[in-house]
Amino acid sequence: MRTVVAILCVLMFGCAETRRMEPLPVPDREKIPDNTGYVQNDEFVAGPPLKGLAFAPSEGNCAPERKPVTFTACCGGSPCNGHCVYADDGKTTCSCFGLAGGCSQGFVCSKVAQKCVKEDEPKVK
Amino acid sequence: MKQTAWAWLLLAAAIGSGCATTGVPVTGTNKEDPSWDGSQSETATSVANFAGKSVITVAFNDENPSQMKIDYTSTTRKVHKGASLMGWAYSENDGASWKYGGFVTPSDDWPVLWGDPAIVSSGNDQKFVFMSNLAVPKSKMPASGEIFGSLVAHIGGACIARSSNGGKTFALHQCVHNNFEFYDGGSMASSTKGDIYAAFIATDSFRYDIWHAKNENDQFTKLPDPFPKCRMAMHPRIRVGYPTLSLGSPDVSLFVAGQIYDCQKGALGGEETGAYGQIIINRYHNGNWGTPRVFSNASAINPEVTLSDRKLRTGPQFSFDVGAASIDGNDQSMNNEIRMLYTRSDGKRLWVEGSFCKFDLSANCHPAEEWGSTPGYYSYKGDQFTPNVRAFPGFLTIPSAWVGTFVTRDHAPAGNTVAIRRGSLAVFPNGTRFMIGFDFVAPLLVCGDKRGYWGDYDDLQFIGFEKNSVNARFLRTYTDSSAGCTKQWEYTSKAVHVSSAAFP
Repeated sequence: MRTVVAILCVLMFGCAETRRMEPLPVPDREKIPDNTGYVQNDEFVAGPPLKGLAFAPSEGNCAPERKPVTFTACCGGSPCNGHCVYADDGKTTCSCFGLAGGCSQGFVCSKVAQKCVKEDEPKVK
Repeated sequence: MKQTAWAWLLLAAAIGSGCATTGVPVTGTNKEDPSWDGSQSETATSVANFAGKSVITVAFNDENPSQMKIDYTSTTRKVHKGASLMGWAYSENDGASWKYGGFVTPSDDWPVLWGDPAIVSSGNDQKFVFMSNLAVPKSKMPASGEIFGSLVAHIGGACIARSSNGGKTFALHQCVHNNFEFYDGGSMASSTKGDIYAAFIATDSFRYDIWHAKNENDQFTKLPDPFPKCRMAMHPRIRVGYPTLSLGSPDVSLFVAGQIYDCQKGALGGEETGAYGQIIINRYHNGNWGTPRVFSNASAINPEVTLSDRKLRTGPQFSFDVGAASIDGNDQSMNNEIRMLYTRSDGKRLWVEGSFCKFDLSANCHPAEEWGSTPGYYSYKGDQFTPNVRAFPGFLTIPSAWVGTFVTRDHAPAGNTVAIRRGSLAVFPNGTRFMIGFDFVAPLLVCGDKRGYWGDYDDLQFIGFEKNSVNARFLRTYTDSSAGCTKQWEYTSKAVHVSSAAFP
């Protein structure tokens, strides 16, 4: 066993420039990200929507004309250059992936980039 | 800790150890290389045994100026009928050197082939290798034969090319579409029975379309929707798994995973609809999809990484594999797990963490924060993102291996470079999970275009064994601008090539 360990140590430390990142000896509980709502009894569950990203259906007929693969919607009776989300008060409001109010003129809410992009933004190379 | 546990720890560490590498150029090797003048990025890798040789093929977005089909003006880009980004290179010496293979020629019915590469060799007859790209159908091509600016309004499916010499040459085999909807992403898998699968997202409909050919000569037909009660947000990833591979005949399962917008109440159990970015997974087995399982916390979707004076766009932020035994081959309960690395964000930095599921998805999946760079478990600084996972399932007396890589900025959290780390997704006999992240690819200067594009994703592939050994070997491909960052324009940058690094 000692021989094996010695050989492995040489393999591990033989390169002076190699940097290793080992787990902390004891996890720092204060720094571990909060999983409340998404992990229960050490199992993943469907969690609640993220803040500002509780997607809501478009309602009514006021959605602006839509280009392919973009969002437009009718939120709370107002046209939306984006998609609807539920606000804290339960009403629907316009957003584009967290950008309150949706995209400004000249931009579209892209389902590919999942943010506001210029109207003619090429998607890939 | 028991002596055997230490031995496993050291073994895993040894597998992962070694010096950081500058890799081997896959493209842009020198000025005589046909790929030198072009840009290549965004990779997928296959391995095939053909004519007694191992052929490794790397598919990439290939912007080859010799085609003269893509023009840049000061304000826009013009793509002509006949343009193809569907390029590849191959190696017949285990990645020691590479040869540019060319690009697939589009057809009259599908006049533009436009990136998001996926590739797989048949598990049945490896002379057949399949490669896919997004594509523009004739019906969505302007009569002028030119597309200005974005191709989003024009892409209407995907084309699959086939090689019958292990991945050295390709020709179009079949193009697939669903009422010519916009497709995005691309992921392929194959079984030892010869099934070939290709998956895309129909972005406008929030749906995954998975195409299946029963053998290498069959036509692709669409499988049922794997997530009919969910709205899918980003590229799918698929893998094939074989439970009890070493104990009997293969029992093929297809797995698909992806990030969601949300799901109908009850679709994932419970009353919640799921959070934007949660990853879900399903299994296709005996002709049916099972019940989806939640596979992650809310993951980052296409995060943009801010460097010191430039930005870096990213792609899908998860990667999983199936069917390998744990490092302790005696622990049957951990055989054939599904393991994943994915990226999370707290708005300040990105980090990578892990999760795992039972092979048959018969129970809920579990977090494995001990894998990756999770705060509280590791002291990484800066961002870690774009993870890859690959398993070698093991066979008879040959040990299994699970490896993962991720892009990191911990060497210079405020700089303009990224590096790649690697490690084993290891499990102690007592079930404790751990990962040691080793330097792998030395820091690379990011040289994306003004949008931050520098290749959205890359691949990590099992490529065989070390010489005279049963140690599994893996190959990671990546974008490399070490030839010099001489141009960063709105829609393109130079030099942008592909390199590879193998380990151990």
